[in-house]
Amino acid sequence: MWSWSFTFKVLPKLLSAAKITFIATILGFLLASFLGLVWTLLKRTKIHWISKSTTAIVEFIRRTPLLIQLFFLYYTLPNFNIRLPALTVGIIGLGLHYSTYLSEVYRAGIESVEKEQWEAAKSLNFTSYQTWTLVILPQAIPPVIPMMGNYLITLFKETPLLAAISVVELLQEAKIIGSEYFQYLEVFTLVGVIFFIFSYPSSLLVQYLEIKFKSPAEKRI
Amino acid sequence: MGVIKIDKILNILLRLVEASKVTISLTVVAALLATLIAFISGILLLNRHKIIRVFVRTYVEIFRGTSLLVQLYWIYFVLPLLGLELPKFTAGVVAIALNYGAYSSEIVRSGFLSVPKEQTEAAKALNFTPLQRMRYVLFPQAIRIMLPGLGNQIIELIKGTALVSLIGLEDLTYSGVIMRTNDIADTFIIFILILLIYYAISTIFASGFRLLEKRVNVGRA
Amino acid sequence: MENTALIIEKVRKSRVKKDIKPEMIVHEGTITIFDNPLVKYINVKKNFGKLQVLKGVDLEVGYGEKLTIIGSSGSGKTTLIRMLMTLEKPSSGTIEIEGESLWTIQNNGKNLPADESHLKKMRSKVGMVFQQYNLFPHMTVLENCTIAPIKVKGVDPEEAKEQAIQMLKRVKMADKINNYPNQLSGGQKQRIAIARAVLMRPKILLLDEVTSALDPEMVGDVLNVLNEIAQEEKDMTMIFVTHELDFAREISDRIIFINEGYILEQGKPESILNDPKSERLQAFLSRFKENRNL
Repeated sequence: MWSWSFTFKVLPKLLSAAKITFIATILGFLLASFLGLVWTLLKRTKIHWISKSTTAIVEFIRRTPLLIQLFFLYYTLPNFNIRLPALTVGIIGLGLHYSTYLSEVYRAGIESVEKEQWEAAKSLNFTSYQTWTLVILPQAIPPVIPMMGNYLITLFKETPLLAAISVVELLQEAKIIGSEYFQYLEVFTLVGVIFFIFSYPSSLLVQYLEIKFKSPAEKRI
Repeated sequence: MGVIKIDKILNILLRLVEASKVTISLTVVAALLATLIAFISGILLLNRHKIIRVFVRTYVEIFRGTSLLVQLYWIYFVLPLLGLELPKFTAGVVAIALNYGAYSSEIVRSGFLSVPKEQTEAAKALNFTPLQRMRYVLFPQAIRIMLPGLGNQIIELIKGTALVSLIGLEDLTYSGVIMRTNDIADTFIIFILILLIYYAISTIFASGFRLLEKRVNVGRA
Repeated sequence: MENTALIIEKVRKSRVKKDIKPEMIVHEGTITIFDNPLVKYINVKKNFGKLQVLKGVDLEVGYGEKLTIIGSSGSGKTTLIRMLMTLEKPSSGTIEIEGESLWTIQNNGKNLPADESHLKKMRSKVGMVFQQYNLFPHMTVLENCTIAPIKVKGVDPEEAKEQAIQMLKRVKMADKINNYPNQLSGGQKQRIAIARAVLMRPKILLLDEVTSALDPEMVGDVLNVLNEIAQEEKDMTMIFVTHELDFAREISDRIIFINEGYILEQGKPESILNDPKSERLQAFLSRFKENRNL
């Protein structure tokens, strides 16, 4: 049933495709982290129409399938004369979709900072920008890093969707090889194993970080 | 882009709604199965015997550690080679249920854990059988905690159903891709409408869950 | 028919509780009006929803004055000073600092609500120490004391560090400059909070029940520090909200008693504490004597 020789034959090709997977993961996550913070700040603004419309758009993206969003970007952007390589579109799609999750995560972190910290900053006459960068964010972000780590892992596992917009990442490569040789068992199992090897230890790492990054409020007993 | 005709939009919409039937039925069946799996797994994870816990934990970690698409491909492409051939709809249901069941089992488990052990002790003192304890004391209290998390999982599940289009099941997403090939210019409308339909479906389920939450929280602050 | 009309009248009258402003009692020899007040509250009212916390406060505070506000919980004393720190906005009335309105600005002769830049300018004259210290947990003691002078006032970092260390010596916390707040006791944290606020050189320092959250053993240290600072900073106005009456007696130039949203009585410490004239103040003070004898 299982052919080890075949396995070793295809492994290099799979690993090479895995590189694409990793690029998509890292860049997608960086984009998501950045956009997520933008959404959170926009949602908090006192200018009503900005905060309401941002919330509506973010909710809409969050609750609709990433796959459709990828199709949407891939097929309609050219209509607006924006021609990007498939991998770039994929990264934008991933970043945009996951930024909506991270926005919620940031919000939870920010709300966990006691209201008194805002007052202390005000009593020292900090500007809004100073309050955010010196007082609030340094306290809001560390406790949510484990949660962000979880989303990084989830994003990683969703990279195969990029195949639908013709990015040849790990799973797609497996499918191609499989159909070429009519042997699916080894390739799909390998893909599963590769995914598992990276995500299970990462999730353990995230659990470790959760303990390490306990918020200062929790430390203060 | 040219003039957008109302009747054209309606035409597309009608065909999409027709295709949504597959998506909705897939969602309902998979969700029911996933809930069943989640409860069985969640309860077994709290079982006395270590072997049972390890066994279930392995299932949970494997299905959480690999992506839904990988699992779907494995079930649809690889299982037939091992003797089990499943039609597309069934393969979709099984993959989705096993995947989301694994995530939800954690929610079920922590829901039960959150009920103070004093409640179980009180029930024992009143001479309830284990089944009665579960039915009258544990479950009603645990379900309160579980509902929001399970609600979120259902929303994710709805989004997950879009993946079955990649194994050729004619769901909402698939029909969108097909329709597009008929008339490229309609791409924009087609995908916007698809996004709106998914959003509508997830909103309906979300509201349903909120209603359930209200019912379950009757009599509490 | 007549009886019904009378009954309706009675019910209506009893429902409309007219809040009559009680007459304020000022003890002999108390200065309540200044030629050049630092702070002036003019008929300041504040309500939170339906709850009327301040019902019309008129108050003037002078340069370098050490003022203490006493009263029972909910009387509005904390709200009064929080408005000065721009943490709450008055529902009506005016607050002036050095003759300039805090919450409104003049624009072509019209009064407009103050914008952030005006508030920021005014805020630089006020500092506050909180009941819960509110130190920044992610910064060391030294950083807590230098961050605002450096970032807000543009003080040179080396200079800020020097001044911070000097100040921390005054509050007897110089050996803890590299510690984090969560490693310190409440009393230590409060002394650092005081240092942090004073280092910004405010014209007015507000102290909101700064010993109420402390264990009894630590209260003394903090009060001593406050005493020293009050002696040394002759030009800094200090407004205390506190229950520590002995401390108030020692340190204050004037004590104000707030009751149900009005200033009921004010006077010099000896006078007002030994010889309270209003019934409410007498009741308030006797409760303290009771607790002391326990």
